[in-house]
Amino acid sequence: MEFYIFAIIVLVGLAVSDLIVGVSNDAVNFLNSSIGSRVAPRYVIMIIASIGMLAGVTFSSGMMEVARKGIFHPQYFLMPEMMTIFLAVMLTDILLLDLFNTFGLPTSTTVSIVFELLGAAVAVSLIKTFASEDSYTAVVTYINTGKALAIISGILLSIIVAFICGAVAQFFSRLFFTFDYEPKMKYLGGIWGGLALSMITYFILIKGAKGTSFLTSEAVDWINNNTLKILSVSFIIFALIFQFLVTFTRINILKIIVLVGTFALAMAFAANDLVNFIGVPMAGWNAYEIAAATDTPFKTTMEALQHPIQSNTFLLLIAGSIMMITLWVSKKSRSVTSTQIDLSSQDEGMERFGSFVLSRIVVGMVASIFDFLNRLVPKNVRIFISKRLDPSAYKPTAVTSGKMPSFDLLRASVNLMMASAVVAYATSLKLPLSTTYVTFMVAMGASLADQAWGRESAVYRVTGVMTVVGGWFCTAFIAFTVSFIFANLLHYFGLFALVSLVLLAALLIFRSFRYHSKREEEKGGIAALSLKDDLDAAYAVNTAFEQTGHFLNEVSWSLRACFDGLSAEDRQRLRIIRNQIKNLQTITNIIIANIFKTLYMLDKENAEHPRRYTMTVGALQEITESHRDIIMRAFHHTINFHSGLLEDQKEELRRVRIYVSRLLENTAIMLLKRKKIDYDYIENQCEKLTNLIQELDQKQIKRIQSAESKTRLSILYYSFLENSEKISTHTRILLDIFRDYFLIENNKKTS
Amino acid sequence: MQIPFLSKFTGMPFNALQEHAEKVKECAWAFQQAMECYGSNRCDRFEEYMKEVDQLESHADKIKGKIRASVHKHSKTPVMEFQLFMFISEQDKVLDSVEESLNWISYRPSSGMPENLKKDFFNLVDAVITPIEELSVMVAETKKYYKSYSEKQRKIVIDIIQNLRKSEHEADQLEDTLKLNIFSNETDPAAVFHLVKLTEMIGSIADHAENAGDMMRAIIAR
Repeated sequence: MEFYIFAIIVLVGLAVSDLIVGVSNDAVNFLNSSIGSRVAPRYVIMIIASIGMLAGVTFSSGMMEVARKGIFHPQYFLMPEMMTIFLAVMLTDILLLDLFNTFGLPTSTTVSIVFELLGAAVAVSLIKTFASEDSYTAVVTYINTGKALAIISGILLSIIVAFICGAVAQFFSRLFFTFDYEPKMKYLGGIWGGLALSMITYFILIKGAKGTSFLTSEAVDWINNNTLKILSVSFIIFALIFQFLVTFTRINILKIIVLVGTFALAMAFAANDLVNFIGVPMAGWNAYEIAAATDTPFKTTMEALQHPIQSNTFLLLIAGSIMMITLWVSKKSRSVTSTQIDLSSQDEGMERFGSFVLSRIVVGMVASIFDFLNRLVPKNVRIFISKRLDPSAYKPTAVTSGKMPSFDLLRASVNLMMASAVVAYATSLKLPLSTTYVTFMVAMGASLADQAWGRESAVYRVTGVMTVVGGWFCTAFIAFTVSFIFANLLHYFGLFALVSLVLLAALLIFRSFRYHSKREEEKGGIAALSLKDDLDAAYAVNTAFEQTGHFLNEVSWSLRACFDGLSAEDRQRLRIIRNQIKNLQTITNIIIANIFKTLYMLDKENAEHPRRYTMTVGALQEITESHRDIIMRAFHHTINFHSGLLEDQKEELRRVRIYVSRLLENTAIMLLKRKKIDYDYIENQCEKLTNLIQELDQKQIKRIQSAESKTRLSILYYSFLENSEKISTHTRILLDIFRDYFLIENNKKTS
Repeated sequence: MQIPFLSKFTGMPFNALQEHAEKVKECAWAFQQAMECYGSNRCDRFEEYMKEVDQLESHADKIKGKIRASVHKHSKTPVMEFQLFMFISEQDKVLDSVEESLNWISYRPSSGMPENLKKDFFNLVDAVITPIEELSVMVAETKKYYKSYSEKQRKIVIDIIQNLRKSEHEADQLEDTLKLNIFSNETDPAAVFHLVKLTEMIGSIADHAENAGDMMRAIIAR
């Protein structure tokens, strides 16, 4: 039994870890709307969510059954087999959720736990069937196939339903209220508030009451049987209260709706999803207790797990506290939340996802369908709708921290209202679904209806949605497969497998933590480059200088690393540099966007020589392109095992690289420190580089003639020379531009 | 002998070291600009560059103080501490040599650079600048080594140190050629003395850069 005591201790540790990774992934469900709309300072939102979560965990006591009997029939399993299943499930769950958190992708903790239970149960059932020499079809006896299929189909259906509901609700809400919704709230605020809060209240009752430890089953039945009555009465009461508020006070009722909705979703999350994190370890503990109480603990079947067991409220509160602390401190939670908010943001900007063929096809198809539908709608109706849905009326204002909301409060309230309605309705019909999938798809549907996915962003947003939804299918597949493998390992290798898997999990989590921190640091650096909208032109110009300086430094360091990697034929180093190209291109795009913003500000202030800015853009693009070309050629040359540079070529290219770096870094210093430009010096360096390149060109021709340098090597060599020259030329253009600017500024000061 | 895992908890002040190396590099570029200015008949910014070098030197001194305080606080072993001080000291001597060279030039401001020696001087300056540029890269790569403790990364640092030695050797050769040309072209004893000493001073810049590289080699030795 010692092994099983150890297994229980491991399960407890895994439960704590799972709570942490689980909350990091699920927090997006209830934080998305409030943080996206910046309804209140972050700490206020977090306090409300924390209170909601603590309230939710106390409702959670009756929700643990899915882990014990939802997916398989416990009466056919013995305690050691149950332990194998539960350990495999928990280990898989932590690794899987942490993987998704690291990449900032929301997924369903319900789907993961269901498929993990399924995978591990199938593995153990197969082992049992194999041992008893039964037919493999007997596996079906062990698995609660009916329930498992219902859960899977329910979840898949909810994805489509949620998307459509979100889109339709947002479309009509916007049609009524338009983007300039505040004046209309005076008249329609009561009805809107009544509608929203009655749905949210019903959601609280239906989700909370289902598992509550202090409501009798009669009370729960009454709630279920009097849905319409509850909805009608709460609608009238809330409508009156909200109409009073909008008429006689200056309180923004949308803020109340969003905050109450956040509380409700946080509560529902804690009440329902707690089972996904601690349900399995608690079931493991129950299995151990049941077996230990008998004379034959290893031979006792687990029928007892079929009966409901009341959870310990104290344990639930501890779990709630861990969740709360995670909510406040987890950086991965912020990453997951930002993915959803970025995808539903009303503004165009730097997109997180790229584009790929499928997303382009989808966008093209949808655009064609809309064009066709447009032609079917009468012109007057079309004009009316497009006037009401004109997004140019969307004028967000920065909150006290200076940050802009990603979408308005009307959308936030629709998100919460529809997510609550879909989840509550499905729950009342006893249909299983994933809160994550519902909230995500409602948010995406609403942003689509709000025209947040315009021509400039649709492809990237669709890629993002496809990535997330693709991740959901991967969740199911990975959960099943990994859990299946882990269960087999645990069954055949016992303690050795358990210790190894725990160590492996710890190592992977540590690595993912480091990876995530590094990525966040890079992202933070890139995000900090973007100019805010409310700045003056002088500041914007200075920032553009500084950013260009930093950019040139980066190019110089990257070229150096590339040259070293190429000389040493270090594939790994070149791969790292190749992967960083994207970052540098993003930085270039941000600087270019900032230059356009600056140009826009300067226009307002009667700008001089706007051509300078277009030349800057061109020079930056050329430098980026040349830099990319050098790196890609070096990478492909080395990765394809082509012959390395000759010793003479290495030395020659090193000299070229030194001049290019010197030029780039000196220009960077001049830009960063506003140092008076020593144009003669720069000119000398460029001249030296040009002379050197001419000299090297002659040498290379001789090498080609003597067949010393093969064709591919010559192509690589020349590309290095040619691109280095291009970089130097365009760096000089940048300097010319900035020198002109200084001259104009100095003339202005002196005159 | 360093124990990788434990060493992670006893940090080396790499950010400050990097900052110091960057100042040295900047100073070297200012020196090159000053030399080109001195060699050119139409440049009137020599004094400006001298001031710039002076300012950079005092900035670097402040950083050096920071490094010293930090090393005392986090010192791993006395040997390590000593090697690190020697490294900073050599890096600092680069600055001193640059400053001294410019001061030496300023003692004979009107004489200018002989036309037939200009190219050799510029080539020498170019050659001594290269190892200094390598110093900041070396510090950056060493920082990475102390994060990963990988043999591959150590090899990268060693390669840089070898490049540094190579550049110093090239500078030495150019220094010898220049001295030879001075003696064969100049007849004025004062000018010969001034130019030869200047050549040696410039040459010593690369020597200190090489010494700094050697110190770093000792630090990362296993």
